[in-house]
Amino acid sequence: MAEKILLIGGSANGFGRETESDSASYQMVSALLKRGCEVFLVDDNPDSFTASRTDVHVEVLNLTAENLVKVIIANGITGVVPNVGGTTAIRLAFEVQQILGDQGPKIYGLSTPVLKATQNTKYLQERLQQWHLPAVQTRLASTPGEVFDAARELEFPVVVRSIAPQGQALRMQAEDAEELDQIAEDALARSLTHQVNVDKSIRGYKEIALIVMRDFRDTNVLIGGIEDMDPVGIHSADSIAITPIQTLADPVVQTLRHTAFKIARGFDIKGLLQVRFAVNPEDDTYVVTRLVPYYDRKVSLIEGATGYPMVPVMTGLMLGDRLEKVHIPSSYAEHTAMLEPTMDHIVVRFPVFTFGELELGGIETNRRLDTIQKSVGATIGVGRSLEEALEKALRAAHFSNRSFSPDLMGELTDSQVIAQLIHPQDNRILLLLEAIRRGYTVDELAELTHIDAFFFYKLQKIMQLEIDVQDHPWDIDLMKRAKYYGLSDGLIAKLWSSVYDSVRRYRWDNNVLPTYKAFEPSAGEFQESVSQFYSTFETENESERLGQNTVLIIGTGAFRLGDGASASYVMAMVSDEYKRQGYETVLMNNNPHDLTFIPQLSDKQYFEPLEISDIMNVVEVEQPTRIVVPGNRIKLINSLKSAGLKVDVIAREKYLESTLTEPKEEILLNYFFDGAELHPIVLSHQTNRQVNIETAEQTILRDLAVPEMPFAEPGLYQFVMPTMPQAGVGLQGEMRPMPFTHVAFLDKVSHVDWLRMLVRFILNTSTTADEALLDQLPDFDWPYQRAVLHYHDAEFKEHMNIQVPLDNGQFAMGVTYEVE
Amino acid sequence: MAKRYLILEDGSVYEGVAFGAPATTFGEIFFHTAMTGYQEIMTNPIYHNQIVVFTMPTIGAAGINHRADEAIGPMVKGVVVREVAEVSTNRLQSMSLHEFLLRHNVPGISQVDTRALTRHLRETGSQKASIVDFPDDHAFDQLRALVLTNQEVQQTSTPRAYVNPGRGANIVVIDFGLKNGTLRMLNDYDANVTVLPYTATLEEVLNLDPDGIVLSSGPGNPHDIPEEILSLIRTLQKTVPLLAIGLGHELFALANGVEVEPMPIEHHGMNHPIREQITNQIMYATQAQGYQIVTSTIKGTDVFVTHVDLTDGSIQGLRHRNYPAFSVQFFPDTAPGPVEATQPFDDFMDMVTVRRGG
Amino acid sequence: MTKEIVDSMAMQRALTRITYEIIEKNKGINNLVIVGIKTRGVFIGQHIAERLQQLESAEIPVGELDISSYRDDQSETLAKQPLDVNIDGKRVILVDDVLYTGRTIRAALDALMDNGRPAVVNLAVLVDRGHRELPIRADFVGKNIPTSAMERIQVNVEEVDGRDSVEIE
Repeated sequence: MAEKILLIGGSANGFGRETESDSASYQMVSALLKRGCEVFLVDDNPDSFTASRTDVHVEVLNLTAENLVKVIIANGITGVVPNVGGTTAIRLAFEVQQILGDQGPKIYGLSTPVLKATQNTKYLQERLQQWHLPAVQTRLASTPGEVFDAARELEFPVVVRSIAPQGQALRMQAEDAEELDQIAEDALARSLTHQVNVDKSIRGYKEIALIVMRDFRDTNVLIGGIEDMDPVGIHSADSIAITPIQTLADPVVQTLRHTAFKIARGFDIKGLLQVRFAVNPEDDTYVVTRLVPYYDRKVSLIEGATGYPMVPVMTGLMLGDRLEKVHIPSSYAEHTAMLEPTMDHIVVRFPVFTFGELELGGIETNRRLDTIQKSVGATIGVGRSLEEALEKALRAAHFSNRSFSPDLMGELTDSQVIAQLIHPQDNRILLLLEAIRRGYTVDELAELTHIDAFFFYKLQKIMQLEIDVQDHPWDIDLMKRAKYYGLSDGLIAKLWSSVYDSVRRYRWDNNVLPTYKAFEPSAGEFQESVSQFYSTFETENESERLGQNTVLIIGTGAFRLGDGASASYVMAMVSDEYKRQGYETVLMNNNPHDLTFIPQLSDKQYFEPLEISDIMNVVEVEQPTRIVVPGNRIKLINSLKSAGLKVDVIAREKYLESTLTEPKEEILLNYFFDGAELHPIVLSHQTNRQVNIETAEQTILRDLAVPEMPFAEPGLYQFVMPTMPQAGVGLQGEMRPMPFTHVAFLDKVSHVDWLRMLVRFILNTSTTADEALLDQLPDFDWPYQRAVLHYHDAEFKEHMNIQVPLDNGQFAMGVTYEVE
Repeated sequence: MAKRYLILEDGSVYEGVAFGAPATTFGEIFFHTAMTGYQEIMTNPIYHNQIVVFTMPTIGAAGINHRADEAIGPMVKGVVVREVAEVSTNRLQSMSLHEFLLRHNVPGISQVDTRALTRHLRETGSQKASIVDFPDDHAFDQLRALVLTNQEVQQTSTPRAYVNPGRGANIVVIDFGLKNGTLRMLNDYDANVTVLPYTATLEEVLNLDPDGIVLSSGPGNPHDIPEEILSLIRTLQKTVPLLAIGLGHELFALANGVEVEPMPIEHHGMNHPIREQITNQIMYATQAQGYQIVTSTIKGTDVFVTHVDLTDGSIQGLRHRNYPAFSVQFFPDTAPGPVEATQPFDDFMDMVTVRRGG
Repeated sequence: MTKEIVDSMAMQRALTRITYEIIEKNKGINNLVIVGIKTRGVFIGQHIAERLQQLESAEIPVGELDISSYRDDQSETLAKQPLDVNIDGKRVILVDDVLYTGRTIRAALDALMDNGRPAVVNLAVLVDRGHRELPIRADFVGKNIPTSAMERIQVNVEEVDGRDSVEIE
């Protein structure tokens, strides 16, 4: 077939795009190469892990239609894949198609009609009506007057959404005329065609997402369903999400499934389709709210939760394979692609917000949750009960100080509590627990929040359990119950006014040990060769020590501001190099979209919270030879070391000092420290907008003094100075670990895999080529004259109502780069 | 919350917590992988006298509502789950799962490591099991002494004929352990349905002047059914369009000279890919299957294969070469289960309509 | 105003049912030959043959019958086109998309007889729209769609029209 396939990258990360598309494109590249395709990638995101592959042709260009056309023509591209690069990639693919017309390459995985339906609600409604499927009532408007006409006809509350929006699609809810006045003009302005849809609000309905796959012969299979705990009205990314669906009865689920298939058939989907529904909790009627025909976070969640080989199957179907014939990696049982995934565990996805960090940085934000996304990342908790999964997800999102700090929530007045119940903020799970504590009944709470009462019963149960545990310190039966429902050793210690170590020892002495269960899509019916596990406290343990010479690698958790995707990139690279150096690798992380969970990347994965107790539990099973930990986890590193374990630290500094107040520039001297000597790599300039490297000025590095080095671990470091250094003069500044964003950037623009080299030095397996390279420094053959890293404006204004410019060193969500 | 135990014939013991009725019961144990539809599954007569293990760890959130009943009350002798929702919040529900089982004197046991149990059962195949208060020798003795009845159909089939009226075609259903879903589907076509006990004679059937016959699904071993029924089937298939489901399908096979054997590992779920041979399309349907057609005995008979389960090659559908008669092993009534699986009813009613001259 | 009255899925099911009925009536597939009336009848015939092959793993020959020279409603005499399959002693399933007045079928029967001596001829049509002018009936019917003489029925097949459907206008 020898096709030349172009993957359109996603460019800078931001709200709506974490590392899930990079993870998908990485896997897709493997699947495409296996089919004998030649693969090209255009991306300007330095954090792209896929772009670090040597078996792909990477073009570092701004993602514009013109640039893509250039690459297509220059390389004779025969097929374009836009559905692993987020919404931008999709829009670009069709712009390219418009430019090239019939002469252009085939677009795989998407068709023009389905794209239109994704962006244009009116068109979606028409098609749905044509197929006798229920849709949201909507009207088109091009002027504020028309917007109001629509609102009068549909009745408040209404939702306004921009058609063909620049950037991420925004949906803004208006409860009354005043609110509508505020948003109407803005929404029209954001649309490239100056049009908006005005929808009748379905606020309070349950949000359900179904993910289906279809092949060209119309075989449809349901991969999974996600239920949001928060109803319509809160952006789905900010909601707590659960899979499998909990509160819908079979007939409703089957109807939704059937509808999703009808839609996939109607659009002749080959590959993946996600259909979002809103279900009226009063009577189980429903409407189809939108379509998502590309790989997004919900798809990534289902892939992780079920263990289904989503990307290899999607790739095969997209290129015209029948479902029975799709090639999947040999680690899966033969029929896995055709078996509808069936789960025997519960996965809860918990959103991670950044308000705390922003407030610490003195930035005012609006913490209220609504239809515009505010969360920046997410974690998951996996368990065998909803309580356990919820507890683990909460822990993973670092809410370790929640319940039983009555001071936190206890200060709120009753009316404040009610206000926040109706208008939820990011900390609403704490608020809900506080409300339960204050005696609100489940029915009252369900009424005020429109969250299904089912979840309140669960929260109540957790609350009661905590009270019971606190009231009976060192009661073994209660401890067993606590562990059964997911309470951590740390929390139990807090409840017993003790320390985590004592609790752990007590647990050990009484044989209350975690059992690890495998993630596989057949609920235990079939033998699947599994490598993904989660913990629970039951009777059978399925995880055995992987081997005698393993390395345990601790991931960086949820996507956060500052280093965002680069943290994932760094740990993925590091993990890959350990594998190359002959270790069997075991990964542990709680972020479902993280690159470290790419199936081929490691030999075994644990989806677990990353607290010390969780890690120690895994260490007990795996007994690894070495443990790799990101440098900021000081407590963890110390605990592991004092337990006599070999710890490899990946030096980590999350962000630079604030450059917010002045438009100042800082000079960064970037070093590779091999454990003994500092080797200067490059001098870069940092402002609040960008980081740049000029090859020509690197000669200055030759005559510089060596700065003070307060760190002992090998790694990549940066010396921060206020002004340009002078030859021969002592250096004034501060040494710190190189921020991961800069590490990723450096890897890309120097064409040297610094991280891989670091691992080799840590393991004492550095090659003569490595030594030669370091000896040569600062003389280095730079492939480019100039390289610039741009901090990308992540639309903080729209998402979080932040009016002031942000310190990108601390708060950047995404970056792009260019080279000359 | 009282402790209870699930004990298996092979000596295994699983500890859990009681819900439902405090009764002690015995039955054949099986695991069901469906993530939804627990009420439909528990009330399906095919599971009469059996103990069901749900692999889905959270059961009961949707409560019990009588639209989801496949028979009056639960048919199972016990329910084994990981977590049972004490309270359900579904607006359409009339009671919780716990109350339902309590009323019908069926015990449940929760907080069992159902995944471990499932993995164990997939190795051993089905066994006798019991839900007891103490896993002592006495309990095991009683369990081992249990003789499973071969009169399942007799216990679940209706003792008297009854009518489910409609204005459309005249359909006679022979009840081998009929589930409501079958009647619901026929109602959708406004069929005028008469349900006969499994002991019906040829005369009784023909007297109703049927436009079509349905052989229902049901519990147990098809070889336990009296021979006369097979010859009844042979005559009926020549006369009128015939649809057979589940146990009915196995009887249809036996009637036409094809052999049926117990399955090494039973299928209870709705996730297996089933290929419709004639179109080469894959579909999904609910399966509740303990017996299967012996594939090698098809050759030379007058039936051919219409559907195959792609995970193990087991035959899921047959059709007669010469007569308008066909059968399916899976459940085409969507209670619970995928909507696309209802195709056989469409095809059957099409056949009936064509032959009525419509 | 064109309206779709049978969609792709319904059309597929109809063909599946016809296939089963053919097997039933013929007690199997021995000696079976499918002859499709040009143009769309041929494709429909091929779909039936595909299904038979799926089920019985045997290849049924499909022939194309061009009846333009046999029609009774034209003045010109056109050269007769020979049939590309052998029908002597065979059980022929004649396939067309729509059965209307019956004149096309009568012409088809003439054409068949000119090409051999079949043992049996059965007729399979996707749509029977009524209004027969000759004593002709189909043995296998996909859908019965009663129509007025003013209406027009159009069968679309993927190979020719890009989609499978039946439309009425």
